[in-house]
Amino acid sequence: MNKLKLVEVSKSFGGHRAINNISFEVEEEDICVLVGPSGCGKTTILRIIAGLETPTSGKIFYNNELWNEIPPGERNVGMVFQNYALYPHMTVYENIGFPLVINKQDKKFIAQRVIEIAKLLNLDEKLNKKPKELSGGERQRVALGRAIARRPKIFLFDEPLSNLDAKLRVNMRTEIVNLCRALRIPSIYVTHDQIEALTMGNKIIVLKDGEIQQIGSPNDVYNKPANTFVATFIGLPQMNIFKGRIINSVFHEENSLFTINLPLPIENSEELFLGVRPEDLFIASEYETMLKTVVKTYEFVGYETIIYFEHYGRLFSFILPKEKSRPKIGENIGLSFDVKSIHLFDSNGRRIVLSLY
Amino acid sequence: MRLRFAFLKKFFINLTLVLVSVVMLFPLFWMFLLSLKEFPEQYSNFFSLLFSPFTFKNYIEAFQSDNFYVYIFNSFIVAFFVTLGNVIFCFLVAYSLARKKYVINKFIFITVLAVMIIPQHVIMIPLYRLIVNFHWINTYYALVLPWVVTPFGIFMVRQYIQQIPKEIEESAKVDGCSDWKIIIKIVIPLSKPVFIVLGIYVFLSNWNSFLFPFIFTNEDTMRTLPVALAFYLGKQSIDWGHLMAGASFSALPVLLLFLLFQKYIIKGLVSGALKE
Repeated sequence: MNKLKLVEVSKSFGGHRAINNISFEVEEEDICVLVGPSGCGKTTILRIIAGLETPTSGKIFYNNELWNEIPPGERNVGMVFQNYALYPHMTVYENIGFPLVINKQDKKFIAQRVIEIAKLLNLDEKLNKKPKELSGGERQRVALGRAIARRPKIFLFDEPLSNLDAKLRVNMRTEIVNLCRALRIPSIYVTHDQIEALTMGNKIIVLKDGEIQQIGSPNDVYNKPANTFVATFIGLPQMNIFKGRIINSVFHEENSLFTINLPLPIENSEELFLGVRPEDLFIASEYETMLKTVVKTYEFVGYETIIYFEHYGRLFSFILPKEKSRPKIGENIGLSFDVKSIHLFDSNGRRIVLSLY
Repeated sequence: MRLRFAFLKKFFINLTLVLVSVVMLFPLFWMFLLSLKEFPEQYSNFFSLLFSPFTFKNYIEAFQSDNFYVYIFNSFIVAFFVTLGNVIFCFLVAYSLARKKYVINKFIFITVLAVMIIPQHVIMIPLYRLIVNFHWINTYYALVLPWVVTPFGIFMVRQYIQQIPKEIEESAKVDGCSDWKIIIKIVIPLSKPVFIVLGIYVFLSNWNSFLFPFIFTNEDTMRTLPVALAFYLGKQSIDWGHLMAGASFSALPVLLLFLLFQKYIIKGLVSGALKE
């Protein structure tokens, strides 16, 4: 089984450390998504894999073959860039066939392969057009076609959808996933959009400041975030994080917003964070109410409404399902949540495993 | 009221443009007119000049004079090779400045800018000494080699290359291109517009160049057209007819190039100033 492996890879630009000690593996069926805010080093990792940057330290293996010294052209990777990077002076046909021409393939074979790819990507009508005559989605498909022309060992996507409009983005998302699955090529996909990460990847690597925060399935990073960064970065609206302390296995919110009995005995602690996802908070009857607050503002998104409330200068949110009636701004409300839905993080923001669940 | 104001504004703008055009075009018109008239009429007043008979005699005589073809040939050879040199060498320097991360690049670029600031006349005497030392007086070397790479050309091509997205070259690299293949297959074809603009500028300025060919040549057979024309200005008299016929002829490639490539020339003037 084909496998790409990074071992303790670091990269510095001048004095600035872009990525630090990155290790992970990507296998044949994997669509591995690197996700993180701008400047977290995700594109640098991709460029190192492509060979466009040399790592300061660490090793890159493809099936036990060391890739560090192999030039980009010989690695046989297919890369799709954010701005498509099509060759503007060439037609769609020439663009898709370019990697094959450069690698001195037979003309007949090139024609056959280009037509095969064009059919696969619905570009057969556009083969004689120049990139400037194409729409954004078509350009993206040409970039995809060029990337798969050489039957690459690995697929690299650098935020390929960020220049497309919202509707097209959703369509292209599915197209890319289907293509990767059909070709069974290890794929690495870089994005800053956590929705894209959750929907496309089967393995997600969350990055911050050049370091891996968590590697896991979409389910893992959403339901068992390794730290407060992952907890707040993945999921929209972001997870509510309440600061507080634990006395006798009871969590006390620092500004006395609420207290909650923890399901397991936990050591007393002066500083600790409790996270609750907005969809786990709900408007409760007076009897069930755990925290009382006032509606600050709301966002109507059609199938639900996101309601915001403020507490000591910080904004928290919860999701009101479509069928519930919406409280007015300034109205007093009582909220509650299930103890099973909480996430606990220590004073350094690291997850505390509640082994009960 | 507002409509009337808009009309007046438009009227005055157009009037100004017409006046400026007349001022610019009149010398050209005057040149053509004089080139088509014979000796005594050239000295008569404007209206009798305008309505006197036209003749191509001056052109025929200019071409029949000994070395007119040689002057044209010299001008063409000089302009052609300087243009070729500029396109090749300015591109090589500019590409390196725009894309390679050599430590010395910043210094070289500042030097290029500094050289752009120095007026050509300042280097006239040292350059003349150099040409004399190389025994290049009265040779094509003197007319071509000092100008085969110009700081302005380097600057212009560098600015152009910088605005080509780097990802296009990186993508070619990933596709398997070597550095030279990237230059040949991607960067050169994409730089065609800047080559055309640079080529036109350099060709025209060398076709019209007078000062240095005048200094570096003293044999009649090595003269370029503008230098040769200057010799129609005698000490005692000026041969207006032949001078104007020669000048009109030398203006021809300029006009022709401009008409053919005006789209690129205007694009070149504003290149880098506007977002594509």
